[in-house]
Amino acid sequence: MATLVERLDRTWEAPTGAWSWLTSTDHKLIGRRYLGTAFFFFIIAGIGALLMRIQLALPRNTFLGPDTYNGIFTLHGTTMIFLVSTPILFGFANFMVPLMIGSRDMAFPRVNALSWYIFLFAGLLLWSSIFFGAMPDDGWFNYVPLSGPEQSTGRGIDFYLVSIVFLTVATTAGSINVIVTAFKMRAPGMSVRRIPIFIWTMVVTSFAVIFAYPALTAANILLYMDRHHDTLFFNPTAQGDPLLWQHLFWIFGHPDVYIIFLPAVGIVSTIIPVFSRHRLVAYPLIVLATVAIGVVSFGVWVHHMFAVGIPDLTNSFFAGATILITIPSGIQYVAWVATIWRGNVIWKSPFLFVFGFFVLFLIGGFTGVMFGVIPIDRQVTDSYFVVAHFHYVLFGGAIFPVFAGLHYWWPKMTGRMLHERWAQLTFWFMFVGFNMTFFPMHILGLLGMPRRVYTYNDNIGWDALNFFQTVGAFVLGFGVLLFIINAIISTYGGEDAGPNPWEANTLEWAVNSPPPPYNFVVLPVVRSADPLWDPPTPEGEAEPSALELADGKETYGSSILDAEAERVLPMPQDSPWPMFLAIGALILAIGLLFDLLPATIIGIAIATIVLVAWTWPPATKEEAMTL
Amino acid sequence: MQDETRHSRAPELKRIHRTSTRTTSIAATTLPGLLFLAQQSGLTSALDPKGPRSELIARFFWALLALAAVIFVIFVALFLIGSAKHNPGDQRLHFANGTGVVSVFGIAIPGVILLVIFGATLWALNELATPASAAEESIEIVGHQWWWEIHYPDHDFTTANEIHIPLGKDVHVKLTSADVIHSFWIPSLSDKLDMIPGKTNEIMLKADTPGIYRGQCAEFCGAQHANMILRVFADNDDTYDAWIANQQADAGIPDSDLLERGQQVYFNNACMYCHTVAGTSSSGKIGPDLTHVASRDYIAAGMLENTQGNLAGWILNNQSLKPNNQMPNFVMSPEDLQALIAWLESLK
Amino acid sequence: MIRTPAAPYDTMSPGELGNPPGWWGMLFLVFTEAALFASLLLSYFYERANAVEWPPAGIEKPELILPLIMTALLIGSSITMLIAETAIKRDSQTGLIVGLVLSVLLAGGFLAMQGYEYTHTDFALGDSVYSSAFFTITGLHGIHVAIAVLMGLVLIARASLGHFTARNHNALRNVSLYWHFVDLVWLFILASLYISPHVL
Repeated sequence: MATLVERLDRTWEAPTGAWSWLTSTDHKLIGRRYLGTAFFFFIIAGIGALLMRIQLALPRNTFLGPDTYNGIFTLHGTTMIFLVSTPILFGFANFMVPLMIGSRDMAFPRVNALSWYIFLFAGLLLWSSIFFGAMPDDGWFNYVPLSGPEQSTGRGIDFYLVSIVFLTVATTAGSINVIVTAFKMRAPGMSVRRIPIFIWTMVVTSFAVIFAYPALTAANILLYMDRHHDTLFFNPTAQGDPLLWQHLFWIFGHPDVYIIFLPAVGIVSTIIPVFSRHRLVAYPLIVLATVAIGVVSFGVWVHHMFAVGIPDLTNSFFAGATILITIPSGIQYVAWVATIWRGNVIWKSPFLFVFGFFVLFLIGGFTGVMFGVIPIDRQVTDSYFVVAHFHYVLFGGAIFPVFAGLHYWWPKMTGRMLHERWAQLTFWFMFVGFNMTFFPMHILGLLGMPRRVYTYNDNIGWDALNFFQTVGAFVLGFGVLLFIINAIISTYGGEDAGPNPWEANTLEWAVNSPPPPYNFVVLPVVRSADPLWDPPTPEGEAEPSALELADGKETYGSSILDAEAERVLPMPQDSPWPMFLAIGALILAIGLLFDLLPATIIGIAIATIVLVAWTWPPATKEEAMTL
Repeated sequence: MQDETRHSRAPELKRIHRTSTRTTSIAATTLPGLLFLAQQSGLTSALDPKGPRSELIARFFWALLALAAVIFVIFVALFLIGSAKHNPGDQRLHFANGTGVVSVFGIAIPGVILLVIFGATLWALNELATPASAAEESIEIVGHQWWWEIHYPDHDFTTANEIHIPLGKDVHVKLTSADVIHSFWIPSLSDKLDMIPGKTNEIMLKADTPGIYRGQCAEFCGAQHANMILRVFADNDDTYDAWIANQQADAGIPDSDLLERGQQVYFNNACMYCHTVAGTSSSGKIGPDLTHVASRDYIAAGMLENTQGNLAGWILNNQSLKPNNQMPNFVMSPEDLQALIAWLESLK
Repeated sequence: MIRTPAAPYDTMSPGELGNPPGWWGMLFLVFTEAALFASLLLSYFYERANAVEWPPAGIEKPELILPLIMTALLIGSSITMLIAETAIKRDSQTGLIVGLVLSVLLAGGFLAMQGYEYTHTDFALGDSVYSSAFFTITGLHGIHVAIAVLMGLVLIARASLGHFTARNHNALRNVSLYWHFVDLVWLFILASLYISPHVL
């Protein structure tokens, strides 16, 4: 009789060869792809930022002309929000969620693969606009009438609209996957009170995606119709309303920043207990705070529109909600400090990045409260002050935790440690560079420098600060480069990590680094919120049981609240359908973008055929059980 | 592993504490320095208010900044001190009752502070809501890509890119746009308000100190958004009345051959299709009103100083100075150009 | 201690088990689509609040006979879908297939009538915000009905091959969820675009 491991190895093969790699549905592989792809977009959007900073280093500079500059700032913002922040966090989710809940894959592994393909294709489609000489150039929120058919006559805006809607399919699919996985596939015993905090934040985030992204899709559809089919939704001369775009956009846009922020603080809440050697204090309140942020984030959007001329009474309601949403963040800050206070801190690089986050998001949060004060908002919105604010909360508040996560989970994903001293150096360059670049922007905004300007006059006192910021940007960029070098060196010669180098508490650290394709040899049964910190079973008592499931590509499904084992869930074999469907969808997108009817029809045809093949049940009856 | 980590903690910890504390202190001293600089240099600054609106906003801002600084120091100190603190024994599964601490310091206290801030916001909104009936002057501004069309309805004249307001008096400003969304922002005097096609927004403006105040369009409006600058002159009564009277007058009749030739060149090159010069048959509405162009310090919406050289460069080659703007480049002989510029300079 | 438990689905009856992951996936898809239609309908009312006249001058208030027939067809298709589901729960393959075929025919009829409606309006897509909203919203909904019809056809094919049993007809349940959702959206469109101009 073959051992458990031998039986599992037979059914859960690791990919070998190109076709196997292309058709794999392994969440770990897909998670790594997400992280790699998102990091790639981070680098190119970051290079765009450096180009912008070079242009702005000197007044009346001629390094970049207005059209190029405007295209670059649009691509920079759009990429950082849509192609970096959310995907990188979903990349972590992809890799870690099934492991943290003691399962073997996501609920819909093929949909998972599809999501990555679509993300890749949508991102490449957006950036291909450069080669068509048609960069979108109206900013990442793309206000009408400037982005309308009369004002933006090239295809740039269409690249934006189609790529974003295309990407939305991936993000939505990914979110549905996360929710159903977290609901239905937790290890027996992982009741609601024992769910790791990162899972909570991913679930709340995913619900926010499901309800917020459609507002963006609606706006994009309406503008697409205006641009391609002569409708009049946003045309002020025909009773259309440009403000409708802003409402729809920000009904999506504000929850979107929390869609980015929540998983990031989920990472922070994961790392702090481990490096404080103390369980997370006030876990229930943190969960409530997470849910509260998710819900209230839908009620603040007009604070992006305080300067458009909406009556004070309406504005006041949204100011109240904006100021209110500070409280759940405050709850988390106090809980984190309490955890640290009662613990014994180990200052390793993940914790250092968490400290960076703690400081930077605090600053960003304060300016956020200032923006809730309507008259102050109207003074500094659309200026460099707001550019400072959102970089503090998005870079400080999300990217720093991402780097914390990268350093924390690198050993688990690759089996090797990153070089610790190098990582600390990375942190300091990034932290100092970040503050050099973005802190002075507060001042520039107060001095009257608007955002999105490709140059400025030389007699108004903005020169020195701009130059200083450019230097800072290169310091920051250098820090990122240090990380890349550390990553490369680690891949080829890093220290072996072992299963749990950080002595952490959650289930992903119970398996080898990197985990085998089937994750767990035996599926765990959980009896606490910190399974790996559970005290050893006393003498004489039976060990907690684990579940064997080794004859077939299978994992367990459980009930939503109490996580009682319900059913065996077959996992799909490798499948080409996700790739083919993504290709069909890309062809459809190209047809819509370029008004090519044949491509639209072919895309729809491919998608339809692939979907039928995908959902057609496989030969074995067991697998048919769960379709 | 437990011992190892305890040993390695100490020097690691000390080093990081030193660096963190040092960085934080540098930041804490530089920050006020930079802000002080912002206030003192005589530059346009929201923190160097010259009118009651900006004054109120600046004071509110300073108060919030002070509060933020205090809370910042407290939280960062707690983080660092907490990290340095050693709790003996294995704390991993230690139960700390977070609910009490979090409820007080994470909900109750912030809740009270935020409620006060919200109340102050409502109060400030009320203070800033000046009724239009208090206005002693009226201006209408229409945003264009990439210049400002200015009307004084009570005095029946049109100008561009520059407004004058009477010192110490409320001015009622109506804002709209002819094409895309722009935004009216003079930080020394007031918060901003968007200019939206199809909609009219209204704001009350007032300056308490005489001077020239700079503003820039503050809503991305296309290629030349960066070069759409507005200048506001806060004049005492005499200066103001004189300016009004001057603007109301038509352009003078050319009284030399050079000026006559200049005016002829103007019409020969079809400038009248886009520009207005009151008192002549030039009544185009696509570009700025040029009736008193020579009275303005800048051309091209605050981008270039109003000098002969810049005027020449603008007429011949504006597309490379302000690419994509709506005026084409013109070709003409140097003598024609000279005459044209002389005539334009006579339009004071 | 490692144990191999009896696979629960052998001992728990389908009624005792929660819904399978696929059903939950469809539910959340329905939620996100609902949010999309909600955004579009809210946009409709927002634009309408700005308008001086609605419908604009020259356009009659929407006639109701055709839409009400279309509603009957669509609701009918929901009922027949329900019949199909009830049938398979009683292990009736015939009932299942008949129900599915009727659903597809009724929904197809809805689309045909919508085609007729589109060719007989007294306004074109780009005439006004009103016409823009009308065609965009009903058009997007029509696309959803078409997708439902395609799914229905696939189900008919699978049912003929005997894929569905009383214990397991998950694909039918999922499609049925989508189907009812699309019909529910129609009711909101009916109320907003067709009926409310007469009443509000």
